[in-house]
Amino acid sequence: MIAADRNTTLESRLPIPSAKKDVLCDHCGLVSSTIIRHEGRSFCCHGCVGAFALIHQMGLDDYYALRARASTQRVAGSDSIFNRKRASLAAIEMLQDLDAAGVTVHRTLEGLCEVRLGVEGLHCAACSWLIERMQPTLKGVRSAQVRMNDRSIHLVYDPMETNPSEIASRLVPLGYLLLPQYDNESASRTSRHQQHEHLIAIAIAAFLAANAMWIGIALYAGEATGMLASHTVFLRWIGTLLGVLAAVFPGRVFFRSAMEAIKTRTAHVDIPIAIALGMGILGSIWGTAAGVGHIFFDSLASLVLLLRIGRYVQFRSQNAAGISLEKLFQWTNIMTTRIANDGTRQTIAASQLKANDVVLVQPGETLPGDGVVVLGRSHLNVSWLTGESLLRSISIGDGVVGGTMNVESPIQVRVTACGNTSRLGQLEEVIRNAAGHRTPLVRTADTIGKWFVVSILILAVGCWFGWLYVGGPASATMHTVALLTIACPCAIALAAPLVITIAIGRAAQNQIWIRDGQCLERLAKPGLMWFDKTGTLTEGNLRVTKWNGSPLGLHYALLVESQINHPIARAICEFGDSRSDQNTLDLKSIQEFGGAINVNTGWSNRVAPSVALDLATLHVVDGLGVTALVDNLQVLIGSERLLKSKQVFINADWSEQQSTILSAGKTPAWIAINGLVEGLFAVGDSLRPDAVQTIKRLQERGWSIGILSGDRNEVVSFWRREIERSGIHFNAVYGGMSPEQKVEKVRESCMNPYRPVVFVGDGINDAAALAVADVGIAIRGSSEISLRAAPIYVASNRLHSIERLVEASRSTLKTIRQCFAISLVYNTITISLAVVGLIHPLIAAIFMPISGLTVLGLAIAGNSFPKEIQT
Amino acid sequence: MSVLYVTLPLALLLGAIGLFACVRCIASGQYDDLESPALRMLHDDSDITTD
Repeated sequence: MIAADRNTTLESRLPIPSAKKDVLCDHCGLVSSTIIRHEGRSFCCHGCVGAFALIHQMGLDDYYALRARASTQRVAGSDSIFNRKRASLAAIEMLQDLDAAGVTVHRTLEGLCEVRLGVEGLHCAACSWLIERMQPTLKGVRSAQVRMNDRSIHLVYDPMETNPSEIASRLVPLGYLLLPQYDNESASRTSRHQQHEHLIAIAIAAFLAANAMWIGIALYAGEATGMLASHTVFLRWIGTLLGVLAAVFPGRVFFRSAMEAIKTRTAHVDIPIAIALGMGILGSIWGTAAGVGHIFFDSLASLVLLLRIGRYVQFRSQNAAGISLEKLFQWTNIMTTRIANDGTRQTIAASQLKANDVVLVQPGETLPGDGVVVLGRSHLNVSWLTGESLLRSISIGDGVVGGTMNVESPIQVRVTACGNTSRLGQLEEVIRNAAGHRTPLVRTADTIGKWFVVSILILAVGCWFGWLYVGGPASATMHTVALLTIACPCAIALAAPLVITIAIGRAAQNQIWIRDGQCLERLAKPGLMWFDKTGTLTEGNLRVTKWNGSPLGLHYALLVESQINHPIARAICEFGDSRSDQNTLDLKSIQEFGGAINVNTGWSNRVAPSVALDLATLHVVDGLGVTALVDNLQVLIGSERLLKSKQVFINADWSEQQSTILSAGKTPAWIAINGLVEGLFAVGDSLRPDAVQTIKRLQERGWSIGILSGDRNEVVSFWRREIERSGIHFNAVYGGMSPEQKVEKVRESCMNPYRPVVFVGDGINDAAALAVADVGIAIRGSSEISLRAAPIYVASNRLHSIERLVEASRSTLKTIRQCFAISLVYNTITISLAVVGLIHPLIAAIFMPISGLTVLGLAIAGNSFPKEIQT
Repeated sequence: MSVLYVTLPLALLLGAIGLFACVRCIASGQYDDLESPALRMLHDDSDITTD
């Protein structure tokens, strides 16, 4: 990111002010070596000055006070400001024609326009505050409301005065990017509508239940202390009315689904619920009209309320899973620059591309489709698609695949396939299908629920006829209603969703986002767990793992590499940043060193080394490294071949170090100044610190572990040896797997329905496998967008969380079973009492909620996510 | 004539008005996003800079 800042600075050809280390930028909070003074504050780049000036000018300085320092964490990788700037220009251009971008604009009666756009770069409260506070300062914008949960903004504006692209361009300097929101509009409207229906039903049911209960209490109290007969009748009628309303309005869904279940001849929990509700209504009306027996309108209403809450909880978790699938495909909605035959350039959505179009792909941009390079040479980062850790070099005539990222220089690509016909499009198809055809694991709740329902129905019929024979229709109805009331399956219906919802909430506190509650049930039994390598077992991005050399060498390496957009350069810059706390020390030693070196090199007598890097001398040698002239020093950074080609002598000691680096599977990067070796970086991927321990613990719990990687076989087997050194045995290791082959392997292992297959991955190349597996666990890595689609998303970026997740799912299932066991025992006792006529419907109505409450208590007490011991 | 016949329907009516308001709120979409309003209330209108 620092590198990018400097890039933007250089781009605008502004002089680089004097260098001084470890100064925090007052806007972005990053450490920077260059300072720009503005109104008594220091900034790292002109971009930040601009952002500050804008915020200051609008009188929004509170932003800085409100913003938490912690949230200014850096995101390594491709998301540099440099790339964002380019992306933002494309987005602004695209917003000029909303219809072409496929965004629906609603027009209000007053002639205003309403549109919902996606916002990138939202982090915390301060962000929504800033955007919403900007609204009065934006001409023509009537309202701007940020919605944090789906990262979108609702804009109301006057089309005569402004347009979305103008609004977007005002937000860009602040770091927020407005993008067309590609939600499936009708689907999201349906789900919103359903959500409203659920909430309204709960509200009505709660109102009716609460009032019915008060009337019930009044009646019980009246029975104990005596009450006018006319009052009793009045209260009964009102109560019955409330109970009937509860069954008719919020409760009608149960009748409907019971009817459907009967039509399809399946046992469903809703059948006894519907029968109990129906009998309750009839019994209450009959009892009230005849003025005899007890009535159950209060339990009727509260039953409806509890059941509706259970249904809502279920709906929420299912809905969340559905939304995430839609989100997965948003990343394919990228924008691209098409070059027409006459040479004009046009920014369009990738979905509008056709075969044979020529597109321009800048460094940092994602290829919009499959194609052939027609101009330029560059390196591609294909790790997203294949998991390959090394960059792939491409030149004219090479085939490229959509979804990979161009990292080095601009290229032009003739598109051969895009959309559904491209390789990515076909992968999408796999993912969509996988969601629909997942092998269902047998759900405990369903099995128990079904048996319960069937046996209760048989018992109820037996009970009714039995009592009809013994005591006539009145007592038959009374006892059967008592049986159905007390045997209410609400404990069974509620237990599983309740326990799982609580577990999901606790998991979220641990930064594990679970979308599909069923996953928790699936993870409880040990099975087979596949791991992706790049980014999952390993860190996934290049890092300097070792540095050996002089402070001077490091200083110049940072200076030169900060100007280059290359993964190794970025790794070196990051390494420099991570040592910024030692920078003062480094500076001192450089000064001392500089003093010493002065004699030899004729270096000027300045105390601190200044930045006098002449960009014209900066020269990238393709595939070898970079050469530059800084402070009249010839600086070389790159491979051994670069150094040799410039006649730099490498002694035996250095060569030995290089071979150590190579044998550890890392890439060596040399720095030489004025023909002398000044240091050696080891750049490479490294294992996640908790990888070995996590795998070990999982194996101890009986899980089989395998690796499915898209990286080359040699690299995969290197890491396998590395991990197996600590006494771990892999059950299966596959390298060189394409995304399609990964899906195939996962499908093969999914054959056994009693053995869950888990896939842990981090990239787009894993997305299909994540969807196909019984449980897909995405771990936060470099390509965050795709991960949100997985049923489980580990945001803590720690593998260790997977082990905790497994543990938690075991205890969750245990709690569910406990709830079942208790309510079954409870039901067996009370049902037998009811059948023999020992339980009065009144007592049944009192006891019914108790079983529900026991389940609730157990669910909350269940320790599904024990507090983590902070290490 | 007991007061119960007046007060009980009256109480239910008052409750129903509240219920109606609640249903209106849900239908208008106030409960769609429970995240941002919780953050929005933290935004002070007054100056909160410490200096």
